[in-house]
Amino acid sequence: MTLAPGSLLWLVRHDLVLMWRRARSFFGNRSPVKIALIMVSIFAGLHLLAAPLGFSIMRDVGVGGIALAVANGVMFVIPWQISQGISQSARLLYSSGDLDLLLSSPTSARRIAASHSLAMTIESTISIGIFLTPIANILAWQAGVGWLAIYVVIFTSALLATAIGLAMTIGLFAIFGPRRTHFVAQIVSTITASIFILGLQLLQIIPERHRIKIMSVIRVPGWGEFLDDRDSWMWLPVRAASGNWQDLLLWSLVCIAGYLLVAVALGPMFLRSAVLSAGHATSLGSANQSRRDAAFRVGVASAIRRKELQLLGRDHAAMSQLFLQMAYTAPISFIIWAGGPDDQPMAVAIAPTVVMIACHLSAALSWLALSSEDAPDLMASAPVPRQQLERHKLEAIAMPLAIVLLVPIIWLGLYEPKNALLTAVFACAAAASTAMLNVWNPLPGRREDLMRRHAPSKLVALFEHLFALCWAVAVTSSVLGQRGAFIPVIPALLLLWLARRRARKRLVAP
Amino acid sequence: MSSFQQAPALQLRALTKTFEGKRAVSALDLTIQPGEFYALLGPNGAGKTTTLRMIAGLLSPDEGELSIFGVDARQDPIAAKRITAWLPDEPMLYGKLDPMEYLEFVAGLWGVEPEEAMRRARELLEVLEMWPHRHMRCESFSRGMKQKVCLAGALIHDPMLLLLDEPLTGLDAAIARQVKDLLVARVKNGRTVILTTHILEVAERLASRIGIIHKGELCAEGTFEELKARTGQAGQSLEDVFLTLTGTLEPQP
Repeated sequence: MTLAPGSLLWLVRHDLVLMWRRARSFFGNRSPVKIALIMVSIFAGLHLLAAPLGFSIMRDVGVGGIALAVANGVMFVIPWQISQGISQSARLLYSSGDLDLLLSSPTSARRIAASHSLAMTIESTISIGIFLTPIANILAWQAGVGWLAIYVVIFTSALLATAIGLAMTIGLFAIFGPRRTHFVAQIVSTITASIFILGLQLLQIIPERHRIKIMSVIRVPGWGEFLDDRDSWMWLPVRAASGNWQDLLLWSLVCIAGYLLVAVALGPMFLRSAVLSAGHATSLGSANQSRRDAAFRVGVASAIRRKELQLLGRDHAAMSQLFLQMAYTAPISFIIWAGGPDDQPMAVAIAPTVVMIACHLSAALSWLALSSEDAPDLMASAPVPRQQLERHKLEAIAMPLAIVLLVPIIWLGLYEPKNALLTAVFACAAAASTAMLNVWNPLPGRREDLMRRHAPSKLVALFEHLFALCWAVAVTSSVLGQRGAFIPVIPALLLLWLARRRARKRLVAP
Repeated sequence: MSSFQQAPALQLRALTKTFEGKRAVSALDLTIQPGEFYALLGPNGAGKTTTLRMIAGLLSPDEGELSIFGVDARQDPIAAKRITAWLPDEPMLYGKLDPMEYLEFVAGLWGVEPEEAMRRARELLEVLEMWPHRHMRCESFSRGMKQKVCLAGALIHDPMLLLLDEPLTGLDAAIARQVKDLLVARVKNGRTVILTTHILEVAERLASRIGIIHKGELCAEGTFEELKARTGQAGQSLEDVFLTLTGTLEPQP
């Protein structure tokens, strides 16, 4: 089919081609057939994982309870999709190149906004769909083919969520202006994505009496009943997902109308914002001017540490992604806490989470410092040995890592000092493991590819997860006082040895 | 420093680098004296950048000797890097830092005393007309502005040997002029500059000596007049000489 140049579908196809190229590079530029085989394998694997979940839902809640489970899923997915919409829109606003080219062309602003938001919708649908559709398939198998409507609901809700995200970004731009919107959008995006998870955690943390009070406020007469009323509009996406064709049609119409409304009404405003954001001055202001004009500070070590911390502190996208990663890891504590006996040590719930966060945060920060160096030639031409550069970089990332980890460890120390000490030791070991993994197996990339940093080597990603698992099991066993607590340490050390050996092999390879 | 002054600024002996079986630089011999402005010319893929990257310590030679002001750069790369600066064609900057922060960082890497570094940073940014932009993040700069910040970074430790790979690519006439003036001033102060360029007019007007590298070998070297004499053609431009020596153009009868 030949698409008319400059038409909406032609523009969408252009975006999809770029998306496909990015996806291919994620898979190491393998052939489409190989990528398809990998995707089918992943999809099959996810079905194997989803099957027990689907069966347990069916066993525990029955067909009637599925709606509630799906409602919970919707509460989680839609904010996540809106968050994607905000971060993608903000990225688009501040990107040059592709958007500049389109802006300089005679294509209408509404068409450009519509095509970009449609492409963002497709990306969002694929990224969330790969995890949700296996559950939908299992539900369809167990509870009726009507649940396959989840496929449609994922796409249509992504359409609406992207439009909401786009509208929110334009709103933020109007309020905060071109200089601050990128930063604010990253924060809003992170909070939006984690709002459901954070809300649940908050409810778990607060004392019982306050929780009851909050629930009673939520259930004010009329509002609570409305939430419970499954015929209300709040339940429309859930009813649509269950395969009720009238509701599916209505939900789809609502989403498409929302998308069109934003594209038509706000499209020109979005592109005006893009024009305003282009080349805007990013002056640091006058507050620091007198200090920086006064004197430079001394030393190689402090120069490297300061530079790394400055770059990290100003990389709002990376900071929000790291925060989101932590927000998604923290619920492990609450799951363990809620599932364990009343007299279990608090550390059993907290320690493994702290160790896992240490592992993953250290991996991400050390990748940012070591592998995503913006000026590798400058560092290589400096009269400083590579090992010294790496050491100072790791010292720099140890600071934010320590700040993040010390809060829960000190809190734990107030109640269980011995377990807090054990947690600190294992967290250090975990952080050091993934930091060394990055030293020995660098994966060069750009800072903005933080979450895609494992594209060149899935083995390094596997090592990171295995480190997290081994050290988390080890610390849990230790705080429980089990005799075999040292056993999980053995595979962790073995992994370290393998990572070091792999690095040596890579270095001697021609 | 005095022992440095007695030795050649750069001495390459049979320097060789091979990539996947293909010789990028083949047994290159080159001697450059202190205070020279040396232009290394050659067609694309001739081995110019590879040579400069080996001198800067970014690539390890397969064979040969490499000394900078008498310092064996292969034996003691740190000492060699201390007196050398490298400026690639693509600006190597941190977008999230401003020029002052960048210069403070580079000065820290080279161990320049803070007071001295601050004085030089101000001087360089003023000469390059970047002082008013010193607290703006580099990500908002044009290519020329970025290149000027990088040049200031390369000069902040007052290197004895300055290596520049296509430093004028993509710069407008005014910025290119500022950069050229700064380089000429360096040479007048006794420092050594080696640059590669595709702009033959720059080599013709600025360089005291020109080397033409082709297929990894130095095929001709000398002053512009010497090179012209070598081709046996009077009244030729450097472009004609270059094309003749690299075999791209047959000598005119």
